[in-house]
Amino acid sequence: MSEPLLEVRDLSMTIGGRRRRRTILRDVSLRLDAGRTLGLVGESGSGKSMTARSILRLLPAGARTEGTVRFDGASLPDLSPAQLRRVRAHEIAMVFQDPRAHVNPVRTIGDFLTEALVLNDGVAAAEARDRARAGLADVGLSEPDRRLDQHPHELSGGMLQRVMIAAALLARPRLLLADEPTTALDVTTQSEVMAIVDELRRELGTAMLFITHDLELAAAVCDELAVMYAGEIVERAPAAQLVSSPRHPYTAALLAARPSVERRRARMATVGGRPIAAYEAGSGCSFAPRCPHAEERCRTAQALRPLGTAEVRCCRAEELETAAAERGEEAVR
Amino acid sequence: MTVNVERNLSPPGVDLGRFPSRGRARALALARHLGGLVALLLASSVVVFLSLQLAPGSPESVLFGQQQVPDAVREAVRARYHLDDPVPLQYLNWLAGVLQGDFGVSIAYQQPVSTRIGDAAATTVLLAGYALVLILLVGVGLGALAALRPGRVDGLVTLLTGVAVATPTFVAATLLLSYFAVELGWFPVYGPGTGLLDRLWHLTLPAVALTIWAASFVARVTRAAMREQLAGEHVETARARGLAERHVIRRHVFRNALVPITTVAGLQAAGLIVGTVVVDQIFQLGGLGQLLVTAVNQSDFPMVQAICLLLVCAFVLVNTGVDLLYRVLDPRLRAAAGARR
Repeated sequence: MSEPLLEVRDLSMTIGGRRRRRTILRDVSLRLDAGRTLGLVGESGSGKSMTARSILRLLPAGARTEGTVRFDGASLPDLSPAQLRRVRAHEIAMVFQDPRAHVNPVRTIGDFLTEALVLNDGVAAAEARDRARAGLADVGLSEPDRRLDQHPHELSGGMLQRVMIAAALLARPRLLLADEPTTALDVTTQSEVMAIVDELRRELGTAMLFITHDLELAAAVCDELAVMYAGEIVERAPAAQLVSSPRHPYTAALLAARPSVERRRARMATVGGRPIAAYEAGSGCSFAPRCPHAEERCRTAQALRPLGTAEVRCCRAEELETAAAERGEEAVR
Repeated sequence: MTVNVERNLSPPGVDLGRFPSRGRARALALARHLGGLVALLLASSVVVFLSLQLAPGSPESVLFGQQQVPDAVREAVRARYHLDDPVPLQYLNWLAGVLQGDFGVSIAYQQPVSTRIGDAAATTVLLAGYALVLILLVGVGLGALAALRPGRVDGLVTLLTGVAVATPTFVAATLLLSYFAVELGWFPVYGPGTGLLDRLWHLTLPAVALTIWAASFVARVTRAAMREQLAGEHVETARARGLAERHVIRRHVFRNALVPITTVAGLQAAGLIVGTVVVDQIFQLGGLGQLLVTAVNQSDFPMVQAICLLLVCAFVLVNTGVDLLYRVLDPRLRAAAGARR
C-alpha cells in the first residue's frame, strides 16, 4: 500500500488544567490519499472540528495530544515552529465555518488575499494582486477588481466564504481542511459554494477533509465518510455504502432522522436521548445509553474493527446487518 | 459537477454591490462633520461670553475699585470696553475681533490679550504634546508587553499600572517635584525655560506628572484590547496561513486593537487640556493654566474669555481629530456614516 497523504493514528486529545482534564478526542484514526476526499460527519461537540485543528496544530490553550499525525511522511507534532509554518503556508490550508469572524474586518479583501503570498513567499505586491484577482474570478465573484478594495462588511456571507476559499487555494495546498464551510450560509448559496470548492479542488488535485454535520452533503461530495460520536470514530466506509447500508446503530439512527420529501410524517424521527461529550463517555460503547440494540456486552470497550470494506466500532454490527437484511426481505414479500 | 452559469449572485441587470459614487458620499459626510464642528464652536463661544456676563463685577469696578473718578474718565472706559452696547452687540463685536485674532485688551496688563496669550499657549501646547508622546509610548508599550508576555511580566505591569491609575496628577506632580527637583536637583523646580532643549528639560517633570495616570490607563486598555484580539478568530486564520508571529501581531492583533486604544488616547489627550492647568500651577510654568488662574483672581474679563475659548476649541478639535482617525482605523464606521446619507 502506498504512503497516504495524511495519516492520523490513535489521536487523543485532552484539555483543561492539571486538576480537571477533559477528553476531547479518543483514538481517532484517519487516512486520506492525495487528491481524495474524506468527510468527517458528526453532531456538534463530537470532536470533528478539533480533529482538523489538531492536524494543523491550532490547539486551544492547555490542550495535550497523543498519537501520530503524518503528512506526506512527516510527523506534524514533531515539526519545529518554522517547519510548521511552512506546512501551514504551502501544504495544508483551512477554510473556517464563519467567514465573518475569520476574516479581519479592518483590512481589505485584497490585503487578506495577498498577505500570505507577499509575506510568506515574497511575491511582489502587483503580482500578488493579479493572482488574487484571478483567484476571486475562479470562485465566481463578480467584479473582482472592485472586491479587492472592499472591506469584509461590504460583502455577503456567501461572497466572503468564497473569498476565504480563494485565499485557501491561492497557496495551491495539497490538503484542504474545510470546517463546515457552508453551515453559516443559506441553502442555495451552500450548494454553489460547495460546487466551487469541489471544482477547484479537482482542478488543483487537492485532497480535502470535509467536516460537516450534514450527512447527505458529505456523501455527495466525498469519496469516503467517517462518522464521529463522543470524540471517536464509530464508522468509516465508502460514502455510497455508508449511506445505503450503515453498519453502526448511530449512523443508522442519523440516516433515519433525515427529513425526506417523499416520506411525509407527522413528526420527524430523532435519535433518542442527547449526544454526550467525549469526557462523559464511560468505558463501554459511548452510544450504548442511546442505542435501541444495546445489550450487556456493549458495556465493554469497543474497538474500530474492519467489516467488509468498512470499519465499525460496534460488537453487534454483523447481527444487526443480518436482521436488517431479513426485515428487508420480509418487506419485499 | 460544473459551475458556470450561476456564478454571479446578482440577478441580471441588478448590481447589488454598487453604491452611487463612494467618493461623493464620503465628501458629504466630511462636510456635514465640519458644519457640525463650526456650529459647536459658535455655541461654545456664546456660552463662554455669557458666563462671564453673569460673573460678579464689571471691568470698571475692577479698574477703579473704591476710588472716585471723574465721569469723563468713567465714560471713556465704558466706551473703550463697549460696556454701553446691548449684550448681543457686545458679543458680535467680541466675536468679530476673535475671528481676526483680536481678543481685546487685558484689563490687568493694559496690553492686547493676544500678546500675553501667545507665549503661554506655546508653553501649554509644548507641555501637552510632550505628555501625549510619553503617554502613548509608555502606555501602549507597557500594555503590549503585558498582553504578549503573560505571567510574571504581565503581573508586574498590572500591579504598577494599578497603583499609578489610583494616583491623581497633583499628587504625582508634588511627589516628583519634591524628589527629582528638590531632593536630587536633577530638574528645575519651576519656570518654563528658554530655547527648545532648555524648555523640554523644564517641562520633563510636569510632562511625567501628566503621564503617570494617563499612561497607566492607556496601558490597561491596550492590554485588554490586544488580549481580546489575540483570542480572535481572524488571528487564528492568520496563524493557520503560516504567517510569522510578528506579522500576526502587527497586522492582526495590534492593528485591530488600535481602535479601542485610539478611543482612550483621545480621551486622555482631551483630558490633558485640563490637566495642564493643574500642573502648570504647581510647576509655575507660565502656561495658559497659570495665566487663567491669575486672570480669574484679577477679574481680567477679556483674558479669561480668551483662555476659556481657546481651551474649549482645543478640546473640540482634539475630539474631532479622534473622530476622523476612527474612520481611517475602522472601515465599518465609514459604512455607518455612509448609510445615513
